[in-house]
Amino acid sequence: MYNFLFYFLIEVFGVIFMILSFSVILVYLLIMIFSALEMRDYRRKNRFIDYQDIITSPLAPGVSIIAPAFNEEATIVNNVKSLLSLHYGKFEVIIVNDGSRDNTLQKLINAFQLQKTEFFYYSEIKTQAIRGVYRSENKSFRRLTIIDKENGGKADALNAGINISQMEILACIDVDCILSSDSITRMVRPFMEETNKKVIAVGGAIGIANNCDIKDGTVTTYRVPESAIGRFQVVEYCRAFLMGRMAWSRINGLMLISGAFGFFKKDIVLAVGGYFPNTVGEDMELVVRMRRYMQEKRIPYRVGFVPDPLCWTEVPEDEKVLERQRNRWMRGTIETLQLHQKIGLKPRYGILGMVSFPFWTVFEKLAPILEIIGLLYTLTLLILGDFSVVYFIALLLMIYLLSMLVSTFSVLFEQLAFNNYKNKKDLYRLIGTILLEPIMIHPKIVWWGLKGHIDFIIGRGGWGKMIRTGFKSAEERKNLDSQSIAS
Amino acid sequence: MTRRLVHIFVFWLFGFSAIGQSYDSLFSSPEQLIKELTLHQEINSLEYRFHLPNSSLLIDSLENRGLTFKKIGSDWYSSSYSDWSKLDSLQNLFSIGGVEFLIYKEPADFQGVVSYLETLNSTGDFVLASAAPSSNENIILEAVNSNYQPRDDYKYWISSDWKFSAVLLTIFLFLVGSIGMILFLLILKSKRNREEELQKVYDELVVGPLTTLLFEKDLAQLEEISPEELQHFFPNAPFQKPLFRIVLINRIIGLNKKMKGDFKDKLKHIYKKLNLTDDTNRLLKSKSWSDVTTGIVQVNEMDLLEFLLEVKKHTNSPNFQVRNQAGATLLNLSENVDLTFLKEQAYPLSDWQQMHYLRIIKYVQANKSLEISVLFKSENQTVRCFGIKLVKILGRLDLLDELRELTKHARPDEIIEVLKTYGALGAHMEIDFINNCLKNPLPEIRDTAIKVTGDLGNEESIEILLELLKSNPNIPLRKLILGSLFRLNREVFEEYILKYPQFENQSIRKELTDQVLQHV
Amino acid sequence: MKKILIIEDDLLISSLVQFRLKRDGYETILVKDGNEGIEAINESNPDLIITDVMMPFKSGIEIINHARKNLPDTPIIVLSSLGEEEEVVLEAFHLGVTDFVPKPFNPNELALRVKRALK
Repeated sequence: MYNFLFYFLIEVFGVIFMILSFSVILVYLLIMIFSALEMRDYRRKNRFIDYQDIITSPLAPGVSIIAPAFNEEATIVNNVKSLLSLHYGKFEVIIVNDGSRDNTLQKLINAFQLQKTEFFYYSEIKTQAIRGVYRSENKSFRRLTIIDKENGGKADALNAGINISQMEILACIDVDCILSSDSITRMVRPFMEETNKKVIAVGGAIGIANNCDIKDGTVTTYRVPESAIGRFQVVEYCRAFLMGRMAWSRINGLMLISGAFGFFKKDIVLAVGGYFPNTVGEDMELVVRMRRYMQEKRIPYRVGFVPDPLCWTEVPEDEKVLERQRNRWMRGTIETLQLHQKIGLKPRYGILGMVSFPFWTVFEKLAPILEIIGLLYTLTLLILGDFSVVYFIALLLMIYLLSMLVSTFSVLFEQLAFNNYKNKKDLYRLIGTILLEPIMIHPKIVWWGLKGHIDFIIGRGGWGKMIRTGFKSAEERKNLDSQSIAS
Repeated sequence: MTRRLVHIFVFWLFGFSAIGQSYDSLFSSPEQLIKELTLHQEINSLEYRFHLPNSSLLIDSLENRGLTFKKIGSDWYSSSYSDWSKLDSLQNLFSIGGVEFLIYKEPADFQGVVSYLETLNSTGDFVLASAAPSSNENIILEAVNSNYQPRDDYKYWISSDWKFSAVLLTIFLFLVGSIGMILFLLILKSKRNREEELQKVYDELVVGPLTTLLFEKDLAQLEEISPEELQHFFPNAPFQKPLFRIVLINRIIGLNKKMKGDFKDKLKHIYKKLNLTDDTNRLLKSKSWSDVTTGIVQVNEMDLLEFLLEVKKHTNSPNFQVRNQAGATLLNLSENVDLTFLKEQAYPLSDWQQMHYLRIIKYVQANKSLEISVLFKSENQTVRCFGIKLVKILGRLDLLDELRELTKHARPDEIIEVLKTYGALGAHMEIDFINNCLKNPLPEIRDTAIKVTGDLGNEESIEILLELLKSNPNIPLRKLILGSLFRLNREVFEEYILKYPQFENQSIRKELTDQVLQHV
Repeated sequence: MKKILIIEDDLLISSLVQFRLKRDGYETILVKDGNEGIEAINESNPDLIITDVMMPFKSGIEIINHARKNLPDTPIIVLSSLGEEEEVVLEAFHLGVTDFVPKPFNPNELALRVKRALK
């Protein structure tokens, strides 16, 4: 009997994996098609748009750029200078010194002739204590505000920035990002364009700056990184931003806006209580919470995406650093999905609940686990000897082909849309990376993701509980706020 | 084992009827045999009769119903029947009788019948009727119970393993799908590369002659020149090629945007003389929104007044780009700027559209009369708001009376815009309205009014502000009120702080008097 | 013959300007971005510079700064689609540019201003 059960389970797994593979393929084909359509429309639209207007128009919205800084003394001054030189009419730059232990603050004070002001800081969103608010005496730095505060993590620093911001749109960025000078104008456009829906957030594509030439805030020559791990991330970037997010934006199902470069509508951010400081995935969590808020209020809304190359960042080429990053991303994903469990498969939450949430659960959160189970399954069958070699090769081939074709498509897509990597040699190296990725790098990514799961489960006892209680109070605050808005 | 289960699934999916081939014997029990037999009308030389116990009472009662019997030895037997489908109903009649098989009229036992049927089966004279599955579960159970022999023949194995076929099919579909997409992209890319190269070639064909024309010919000469002559200025230019015409149009429009004075007129003449208006006309009638928009932009840039009616049709297009550009073109080109099309907009005006129109209106208002008040009568709230913003940005003090009229039945968004306008234009005479808004229950209106009173307020405003402070407002609101009070009347402000020297009030005072924050 | 450096990313515009200035008998150097502009200032020692303020790679401000440092007496004419009240343009004036021509512009007018600046 047990024997039978064992074999029956194997059979059931087989069927489940078949269905899964089918859906993976279907989903990727759909993503390819949607992204192609969306990119076509986006480029067509762009032809008719004059971005000059928006810089000077009195009707353009104000933008508060908020960048947390933690131990950035080496680069902070240059970074702030380039932020201040962005081409836009109405904007301010808020740098939040999140309790740096180095000379970040002093460097800023010296470079921009800052003075501590008597600004009366009021935390509409609760944050760590503020040590001081600095402004410059020099008029040419009048757009700049520095907040010096006790260390509280990225989300907490962003919240402090949100509390002090004056403009209606918040641009939350990483301070070490390189922003092209027209980045604000392009990112603000979706907010201004939509008529029937409220645009609550707009995400941007993040480019990879490693090994590229950079001058005055723009990448002038693109080159692929020297390390395989860096090149892999270029391919991944094409897949994630140009293909994935484009497709999700087409069906208005975006759940994640990169924390390195995201624009948000301030009133909605305040209404939901700002960033949630107890999760490592604060960027995703905020978007999901904002969307949830809009769904619950039944206000038509949109989360936009701008694929233009406007923001670049150095990606880790060191395996240890990348491992930490991926581990954190996985935990962030799990935490967000857990915190918002109740939206899953509820028609009330529209695309968010019925499509995005299940997709993230299966294809992002569970992906490493499913892959490992699939592998174990295949191994079991091999050991039992009841598994034909042909069958095994066919399965492997299918997975390999899938990853290869999707990657090839996305790199081609980049070539077609922006053609940034102009050197043929770079292209060949990217194709080489695509061929090797499933064998060389993918297993590591899966393993790191799995470790993220493990860390999440281990952390669950103390820290996980803290997350939930913290979230609860954030939820309560949100409800309270929405009540006061309604009344 | 797995493979057997796979076969079960195959069976379950396709209902293969080939089961018979793989059974050792057709029937394992008499019950099964009977069940199968009742599914047949008649089977070659196979009959049955009932064997009855020796009871005259029973025989009598049966005989009364017209059934016949015969006595063989000491036992009674019914007559023999050949229709097996009636077995059940007959069995009911002869409730206590047992069934006896007859082959060629001779009694036979279970084994005998089975081997007889197997013989018939092998010759094809007997086909199992019970092969059709009644329910999946039964079939699976039956199949599991049966000692089925898998075919190890490789060819059959592939065709019957559905999972394998599914994998093959998926790979195939996926390959076709994604290779199709990739090919599509490659073709698109090479097409675009070719176009780009051609564009460069065409660009060179265009730039030289265009520059010469603009400087060598004056307007009168261009007016008189015939289209053929004009074409001669562009040596080797393939005018019949659509891409060339697109390059030419883009170049002319691009220049027109950056040129001033008679150069603009010259460009327009060249555009018309080269019959590029035909392209515009075609684009305007196209079904694709991007073509239509391109056409409208051409009309706009080249002042093609003859197409204005065509453009007007698009002002309420469901496509944002189309209606945006159509509106802009109308604003730009119509003799006297008629805002009625804007008034009749069914779709909300997006900020982008407002910004676009504002720029044009700013530009044209110098030479053309502008009836902004038309917008106040629009059904569309966003249009009314835009009208109010125009009053503010263009500084149309003459329309303040109409604004006052509008506020009588305005919605919150409009009231906020009106308040901002009063603030920007320094409309002291409207202070009563502003003071009224200070008491508005809607926080958005109240807050805007507080800001405005900072500049325009009077004695009454001060009183209301102090009143508001009494309700112990939260910090942001308190900051706002004290800020206005600070600007309005420094003395009253200081008095208030002295009277209520709480921490918040002190801190707000410090902030308001901070030198660095002041000059920002 | 006076040498004029034209820094402008739109080729049609620059070729138009070039055509017009050549007719007035000037020698012209065309470059299409800020980096080339800086190089050209260093190498060819022009008598007048026409530049945009918003261009790829280097802002016009930097070019003006560079020119002021290296060629303090060379007149600079700014040709730009930005309005005169625009901050960058004001900054350019602070750095001591000779003239400002807003786009859209008339090449004949530009030629007149060039003549005046070179007097």
